[in-house]
Amino acid sequence: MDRNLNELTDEELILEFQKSGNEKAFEILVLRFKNPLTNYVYRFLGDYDACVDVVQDAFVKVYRYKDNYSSLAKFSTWIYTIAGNLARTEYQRRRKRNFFSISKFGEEDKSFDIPDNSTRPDVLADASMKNEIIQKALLKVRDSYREAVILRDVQEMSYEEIAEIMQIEVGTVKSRINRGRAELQKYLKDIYFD
Amino acid sequence: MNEDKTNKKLIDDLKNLTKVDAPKNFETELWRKINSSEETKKVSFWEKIFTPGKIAPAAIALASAVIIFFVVDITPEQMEDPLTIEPRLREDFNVVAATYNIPVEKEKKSIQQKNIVVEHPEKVLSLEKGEAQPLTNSQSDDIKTDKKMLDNEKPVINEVANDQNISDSFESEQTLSLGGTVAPSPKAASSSQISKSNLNFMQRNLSTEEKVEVQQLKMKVTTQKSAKTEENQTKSTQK
Repeated sequence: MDRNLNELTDEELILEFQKSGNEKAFEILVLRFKNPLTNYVYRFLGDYDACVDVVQDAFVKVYRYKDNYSSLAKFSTWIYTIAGNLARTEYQRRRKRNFFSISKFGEEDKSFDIPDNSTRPDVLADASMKNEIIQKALLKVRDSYREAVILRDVQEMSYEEIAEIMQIEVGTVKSRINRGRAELQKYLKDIYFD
Repeated sequence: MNEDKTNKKLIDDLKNLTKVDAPKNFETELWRKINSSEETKKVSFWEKIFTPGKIAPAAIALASAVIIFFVVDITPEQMEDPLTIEPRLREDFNVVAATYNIPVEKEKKSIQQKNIVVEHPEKVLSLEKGEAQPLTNSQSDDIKTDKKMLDNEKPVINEVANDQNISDSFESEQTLSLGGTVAPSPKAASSSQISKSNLNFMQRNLSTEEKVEVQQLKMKVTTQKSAKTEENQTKSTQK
């Protein structure tokens, strides 16, 4: 039975979970998507603990609202949309919190670049300096551009999939990716133009 | 070309970024979250509302609101804007207003008339009969209205006349106390403030006959005075 479930596609698994409430099917889906989703949300938020929470929340939503899934859409698109929305909300919440906590002590009109000290030590050990610089540059890119760039260049998704996840036109996806890359190049000019 | 190269480099770097994996205890934490969320899900919104601890105070508040609504009668009279209500009529206020509305000139005329009646009743009679002077239409109308005023406003005029008498008597008392030699000075009245019309004495327009009479009397007085002075002079010279 377990072997059979492992052979099922994502869509078949969620349908199985919908119909019979088989938690094993859900567990297989978690196993398949936990790492790519963690990677995607981490690149977007830049905070590992927050990213794990967001991914777990996304799975909780899938578990609770499994009946909202329609077989017309791809499961990956559905779960990425949920995770993306949660990540965006979390990012905005954190940005507001950081802004207010700093503006209390500093000058009112001045904004600050918050250094990212939340990078995991084991990740830091493995990653090169370049990776760290790219991650910091990614966080400086505008939210909508960053999401598109991560989905395309990090997660290696198609334009159509990104358009579905972000619920925008394919043309808009392309322009956002280009603008995001341009912004990223601007922030990384020390690496690429030296 | 250079831009494409850097773009390619960037894309490659993004692809080769180290993959971040979920922690080992991801599933256990996830199940804990799912179970806790299910527990909270079981208590629905309506179940939360309809607990006896919340229903009792809500029912009491509702009942008291209904009682207040039916017992406390908010009549439209109470709700009426007090600024729009007309003030109640006061009789005493009206009387005062009537006395204030009396025109000053007419009041004076009426007082003069009264004085004429008191001092020269025969002249008033002649005035009324029109013997002394032929009156114009407007003058006769004035007299008529004055008569009416006199009839209607007798009490008021009496009051004014009494006041005048009091002031007159006071003045005379003062003069007596001063031996009749010095007249009392008016109360802080400058010459500019005093006009003939405001003075408290009888004003009369003399007819030509009366003027002739006055002239004759004056002549008599002056001749008597001159005669007296002449007599005095002759006496002094004789002495």
